[in-house]
Amino acid sequence: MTVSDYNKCVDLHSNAVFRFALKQLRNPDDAKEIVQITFEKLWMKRNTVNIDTAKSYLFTTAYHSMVDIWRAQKPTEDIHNLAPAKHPTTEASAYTGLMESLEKALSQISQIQRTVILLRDYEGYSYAEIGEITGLNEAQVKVNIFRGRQALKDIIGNPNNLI
Amino acid sequence: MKPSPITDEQAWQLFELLEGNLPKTAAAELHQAMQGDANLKAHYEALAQTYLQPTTTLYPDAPSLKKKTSNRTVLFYASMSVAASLVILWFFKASIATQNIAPIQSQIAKTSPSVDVTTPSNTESAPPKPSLNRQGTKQNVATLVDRTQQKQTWETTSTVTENPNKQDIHPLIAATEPIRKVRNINDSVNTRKPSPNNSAIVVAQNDRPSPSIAQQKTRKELLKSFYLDARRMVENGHLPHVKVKTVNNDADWMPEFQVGLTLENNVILTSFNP
Repeated sequence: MTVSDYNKCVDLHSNAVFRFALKQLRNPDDAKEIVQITFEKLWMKRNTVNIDTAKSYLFTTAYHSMVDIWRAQKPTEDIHNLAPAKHPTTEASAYTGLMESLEKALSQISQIQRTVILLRDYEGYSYAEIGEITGLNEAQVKVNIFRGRQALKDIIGNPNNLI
Repeated sequence: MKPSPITDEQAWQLFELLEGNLPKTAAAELHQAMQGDANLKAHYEALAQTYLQPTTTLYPDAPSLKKKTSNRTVLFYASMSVAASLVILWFFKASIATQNIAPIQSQIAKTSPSVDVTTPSNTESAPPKPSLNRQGTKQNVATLVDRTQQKQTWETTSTVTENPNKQDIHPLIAATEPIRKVRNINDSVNTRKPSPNNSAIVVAQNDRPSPSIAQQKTRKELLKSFYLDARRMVENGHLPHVKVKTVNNDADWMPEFQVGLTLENNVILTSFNP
């Protein structure tokens, strides 16, 4: 990968990686740090990563970097079985829109479910590609997407869950 | 009104339908089933709402992530070329200075042929080289005069073409052989003799190489002769051409490189990889 290829990757994928990290971490500063770490690793590996596989490499690296952060926060728990995060909310009236409700619900499902759903919906990755990024097989990816959507449906269907 | 629960199989089928994994016939059957089952359709619509719509999120620090591809590479090559040229010139000049021949060398290199002839010789008793006699024809003499008056250069190629043994030796050796025949710059000066008619002819004939070819040279002798070639050519005002080329073109701004030294007869004297 040449310098121009690397810069092209920045143009093409930096926003997507940032969005992926922001949806996961819900903290812009942490998300920026993840993006910087990710592209720094891409630059260091530019001789082995070509431009066609750069996007997959970026999301894999970003995901692993976030896993490191989660593990540092909760070192004793399995990252795939973390309980849904319970964030304090304001009032239910603040989540009138479907998108806002969905965003809120997304923060309440497990991290692996959120990861696979984000990669599936935002980036359009196939089950196999998501499996490469997360280290799961296709069946596990599919099951996690299914369970995540069922959880989102339940949360959205019951407004009390958003409070 | 909250819809009543459905079975896991129905939920999975709705999920497969929304994911686009069901065949067309199965999808059509499921759609038909939903027409008659409001509860199933409500679950389908609720599940469809869980699909995220891509949003535009801009990373504000994207320019800081980019790597600059400015003129660093060009400046690097240029600076390396200049540095290598200076080092090589300094090397040859220093070598010449140690032999205390700088005045003679500068006189040969910079003065015109007519002035060169008037240089007093301390070996006038030395026999002149018979190269002019061997050459013989007026045409060749005139050619030598023209060449000498234009620039004091040594035409090696013409001599090599006259060599009958040219086919049997390496072209590199043949091209540099005439110059190597002059062992020392003092020898060249000593053999110069003022001519009453045309001084330029004498200069040319004194510098004419012998057509004979060395029989065998060891590697050490060959390298030594190359060094002498280079030194003598630098003495006579030839500037070495230094070429810097990359070995690995992977767009690094500081790649591995090689430096080659080439003189006017296209002899690569040295090549190294710092």
